[in-house]
Amino acid sequence: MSSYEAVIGLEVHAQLSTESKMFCACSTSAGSPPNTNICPVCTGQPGTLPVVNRRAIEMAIKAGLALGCKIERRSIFARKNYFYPDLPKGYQISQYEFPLCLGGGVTISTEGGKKTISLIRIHLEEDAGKLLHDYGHPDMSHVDFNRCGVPLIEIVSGPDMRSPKEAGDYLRTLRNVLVYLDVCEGNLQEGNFRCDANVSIRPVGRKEFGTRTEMKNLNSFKAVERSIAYEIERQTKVLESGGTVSQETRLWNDVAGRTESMRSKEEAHDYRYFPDPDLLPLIVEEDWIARTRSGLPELAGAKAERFVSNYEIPRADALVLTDDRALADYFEAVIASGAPARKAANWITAELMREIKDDERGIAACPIAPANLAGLIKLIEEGKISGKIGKDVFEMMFKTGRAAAEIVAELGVEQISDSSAIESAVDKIIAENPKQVEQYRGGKTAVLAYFVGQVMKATKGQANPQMLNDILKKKLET
Amino acid sequence: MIKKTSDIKEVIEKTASLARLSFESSGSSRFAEKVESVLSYVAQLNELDTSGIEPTSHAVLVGSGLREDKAHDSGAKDLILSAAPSRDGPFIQVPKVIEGE
Amino acid sequence: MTAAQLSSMLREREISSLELTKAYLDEIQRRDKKLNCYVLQCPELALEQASRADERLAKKDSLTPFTGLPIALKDIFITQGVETTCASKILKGYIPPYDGNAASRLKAAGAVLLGKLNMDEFAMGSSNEFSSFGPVKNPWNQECTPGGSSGGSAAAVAAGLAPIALGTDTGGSIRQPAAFCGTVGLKPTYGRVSRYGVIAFASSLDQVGPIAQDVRDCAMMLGAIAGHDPMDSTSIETPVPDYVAALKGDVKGKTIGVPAEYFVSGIDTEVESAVRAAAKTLEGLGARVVEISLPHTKYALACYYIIAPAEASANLARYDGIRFGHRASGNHDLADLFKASRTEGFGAEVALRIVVGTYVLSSGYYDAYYLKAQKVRTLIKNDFLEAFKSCDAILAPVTPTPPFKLGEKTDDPIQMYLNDIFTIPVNLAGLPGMSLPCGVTGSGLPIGMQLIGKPLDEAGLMNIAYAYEQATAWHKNIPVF
Repeated sequence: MSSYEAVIGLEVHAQLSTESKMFCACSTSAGSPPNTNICPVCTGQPGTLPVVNRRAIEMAIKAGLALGCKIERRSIFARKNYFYPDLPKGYQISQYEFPLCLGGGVTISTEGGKKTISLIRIHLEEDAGKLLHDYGHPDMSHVDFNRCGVPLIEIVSGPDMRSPKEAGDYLRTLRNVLVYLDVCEGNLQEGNFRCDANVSIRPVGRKEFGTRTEMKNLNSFKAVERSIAYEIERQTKVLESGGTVSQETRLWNDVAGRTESMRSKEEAHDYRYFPDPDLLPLIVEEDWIARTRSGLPELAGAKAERFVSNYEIPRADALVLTDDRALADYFEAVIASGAPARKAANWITAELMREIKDDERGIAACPIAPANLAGLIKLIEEGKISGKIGKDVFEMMFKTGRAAAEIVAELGVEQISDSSAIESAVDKIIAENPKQVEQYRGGKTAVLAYFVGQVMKATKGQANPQMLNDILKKKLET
Repeated sequence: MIKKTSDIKEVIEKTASLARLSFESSGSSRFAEKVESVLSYVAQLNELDTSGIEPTSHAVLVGSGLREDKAHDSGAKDLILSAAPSRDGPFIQVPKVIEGE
Repeated sequence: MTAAQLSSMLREREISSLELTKAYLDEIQRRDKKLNCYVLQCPELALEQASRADERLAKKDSLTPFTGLPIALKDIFITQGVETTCASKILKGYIPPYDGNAASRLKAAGAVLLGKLNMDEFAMGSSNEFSSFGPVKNPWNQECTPGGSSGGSAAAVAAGLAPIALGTDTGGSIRQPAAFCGTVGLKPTYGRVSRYGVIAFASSLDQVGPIAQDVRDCAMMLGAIAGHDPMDSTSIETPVPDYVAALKGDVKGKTIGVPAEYFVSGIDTEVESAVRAAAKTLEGLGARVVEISLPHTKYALACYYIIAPAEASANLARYDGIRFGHRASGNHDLADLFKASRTEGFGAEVALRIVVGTYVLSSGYYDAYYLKAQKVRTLIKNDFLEAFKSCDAILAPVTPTPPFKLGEKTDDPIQMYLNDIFTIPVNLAGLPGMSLPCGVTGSGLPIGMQLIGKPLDEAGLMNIAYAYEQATAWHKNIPVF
C-alpha cells in the first residue's frame, strides 16, 4: 500500500446564482413545476439564438479574480456536439479552447503546512435538462427542461492533491470562496455545486502519472472523500495483483460504499468542438475587470485574520465564525450593537452554534437578532442577570425571538445587586442558622457554601453572587 | 488523407453514425461517392499557404453580445409542449434512457 | 404593380386591403399550380389581418408602408401558429410557439401574410429542386429552375403571386434566384437584419433580405426589417438610415470596380456581355469603372463548402425527434430513435451536407479542413477590403450562367455548387450584395448583375442600383406563363 501515491484532480461544476438562464430570460429558480421555466430558446426551437447573460460573466470573473486566475480579455463559446434527450440543441454551449479564466489556485492547510492546489482553468457553460426514469412508465423516460440553460462555471484543478483529505479540504475551501462571493449557493445535495474526481496512483517517487479513472455521482463532501479513498485502494489492489487500471468513468454507489464501472458501450466520443457562430467572441474590457476586482468582498481567510487582530478573539473561534459568511456578518453585527468581541464570539460559537448545528439554513435559522444577543450580553456584563440565568434567557430568546430585557423583566429574574436587599436576606439566614454560624466561626469555612445556597434559595437565585459572597463573609466574620 | 475506397466508405459510414444518420438507407454507395467528391473538391484549399493567417469566424464583429440578467416568463410553455411528438403530462416522453449510454 | 404603388393606393383608400388580399389569394389559387411557389397558403389569417389593416387605414392609425400590404415569407421564417417546415419532412406539422423577428416586425407594421414560400430543404440548394414539396418552376420558362434556395420567393414575386417577399441568403440564395427570375434581391451586411426566427443553415453566413420587383420596393422592405434585435447578439446596433429617401439615382463620381476573376472561363457569353454592358451604362451615368482583383476568388467555393456544412451539421442536430417535428414510429431504443427519425426526415442533399460538415469537424480533420477554411475566409475577406480602397462598389455577374434546366444538375453536387461561385465570396466576407436584372438571353431568360458594397453601405449600393434601374427597362419585363 504505502509504496503507491495517489494523484487526484477535481472538476467542479458550480451553478451561478443568476436570476435568469445563461442564454435566455427563463428563471433559474429551483423547485418550479416541471417544464415551466422554459422558452423557445432553451428548448432549442428552430430559429432561436443564444444571448449571453452579462451577470453570469461577471460572476465568473469574480470567481476567477478571487481564485487568482488570469482573466482573458477574449474568450470564445464553442459548441460541444452530442445527442441526448436532455440536450435540446444537440450541442452544449461551452467554452473550450479559449476559456475566460486561466491559472489560479486554492490554498489549503495540511499537516505539512499550507499547500496550494493549482487551477488549470475556469470556463462558462450551460447546464442540460433533467431526465426522470420513474414517471409511471417502465419503458419511457421523461424530460424536464427547467434546468436546461442554467449557467455553470467549470473549475478544473491541477492533479495536485495526494489524499482524500486534501481533496475534501480543497473542495470545502473552494465552496467557501464561491459562497462568500455570492456567485454560487454551494449545495452539493441540490446539485448546484457538483464534483467529479479524477484519481490515479503511481509508485512513490515516479514522475509519470498512472491511468486515471473518473468518479461521478459524488453528492456530498463525504462521498468525495470516501469514493477517492475507495478508488485508491481498488487501484492499488489491481496493480498489486499484477493487473492494469483501465481508463473509465465510474459511478460512486454511496449506499454500497464503492465505485462501479459504468460498463457503457460508449462509442468513442468525438464532440467536434468549434466556435459557436451564433455568439461573437466574448470581450472583457480591462475596466470591467478592474471594477469587479474593487467590488470583491473580503474572503474567509482575510476575514479570520482581521478578527484575530482587530477583535483579539482566539484563532479557533475566528475560523469557526468565518467558515460561513452570514455567520461572520452576524458576529460583526453583534459587536456593532455594543457587545464585547470575545463575549460575542463565545456566545455564538458555544450557545448559538449548538442551537443551529443541525439546521442546514445555518445562521439564517437563528431568530435572535444581533442587537438582541448584544442586549443579553450587556445584561450579564452589567450584572443585571447572572451568567447561568443568561443561558436560560438565551434559550427562551431562541424559541421566541424576543429581546433579553423583556424576558428578564417578565420572569422577574433580574439579579439583585442592591446590597441592602442582599444584607437583609443574609441577616435572616444567619439568624435562622446559629449552629452553622458557630461552625463557620469555629474555622469550618466550608459551610460558606451552605449559606450561599440558602440565600440563593431565598432570592430565587437572583442575588449577585459576588456581592453575596462579600456580604456573607463580612457578616460571618464580625 | 484518405486513400482506399473501402476506407472512405468506412469513414463516411462512421461519420454518418456520429451525425445520427443511417448511411445505408441514404441511397447507398452513390451517397458515399457524393460525400467523397465534395471532400476531395474542398481539399484544394491545401494549395494555399495560410501560415500566419488568423482564422475568421465572423466577417463582421460589431454585435453587442450581452443581455441583462432579468428573468421573465416566456408564456410559451404550453405551445412548446404541444409541439412535441410524444407528451406525458408536463413532460416530453422519450424511450427509456439507460444512464451512461 | 410594385409594392410601393400598392402601398400608396392603400393609403389613399383607392383599394382596400381586403380587396387587394383577395385578389392575390385568387391569383395564387388560379396560377400557382403551374409554379408551386407556395408550400402553405393562409387565406383565413390573411383576410383577418387585411380587415384589421383596413380599420387601421380608415383611422390612419400608426400607418407604415406595409399596413394592409400582402407579403409572403420563405418557409424558413418562423411564424407563430402557422406551420413552418423549411421544406423538410422532418418539420412536417411543426407549429412554432413564437414569432421570429421578421414575422413580428411585419405583423406590427400591419402587413398581410399570404402564405409560406417554397425553397430548397433547409436552404440547401441552388435550384429549388431539393424541396420536400417538389421543385418550383421558373415563370419565364417552366422547364427551367427559378434558382434557389429562395426559389419560391423569387418566382412568386416575378409571377405576380406576391407583391414582395422575404428570402434568406447563405451563399447566394436571394441573389441567384432573384437573377434567374428577373427580380431584385438584396442580401444585407451580416448582422444588419436579425436572424432570430430564421431557421439556421450556417449561422455565420445566413442573412435575411427582400426579393422585390424593383429597387424602391427593396429599400422599403429593408427599412422595415433592418436594425438591432436584442434576441440576436450578432445583430448590429448602428442606426438604420431611411433607405427609400437615399435613392437619389446619382452615381456621378462613384468608382465601380469590376473584378477580373469573375470573368474567367466557364462564364456564359450572354451573361458576360450583359454585365459588361451594364458597366458601360453606369459609366454613361457618370460613374468611373475600374478593373480590380479579388485574387482568392477561386478558393471561395471550397472554403464555403467546409464552413457552411460544418455549421449546418450542428444547427441541424436539434432535429432529433424529441421536442418537435418527425419522430420515427415503431419501437426504438433511444439511439435508434435518433437515427431513424433523422434518416427518415432529412432529404439526401441535407444528409450529404450534414455528413460533410460532421467530417470536417471531427477529431483529426478539424485543423486540415475547418481551421484551414477559416483562414482562407480571412484571405477572401481581405481581398474585398483591399479592393474597396480603390472603389465604392463592385459590379459582377450573379451566376456564371442563365437559368438552367430542371434536373440538369441534381445528381452532381459540384456542378450544382459551382452556380454560386460569384455569390459565395460575399457571404464569406459578410458584405451587402444585390442582384438586379440587366438583360435577357436569346431564349428569353433573365440575366442578373450583382452589386457588392462596403459593410453597412446598403444605401449606397441601392442608390447605384436605382440609378441603373432608372436608366434601363429590364425590371419592367413580366413573364407570361
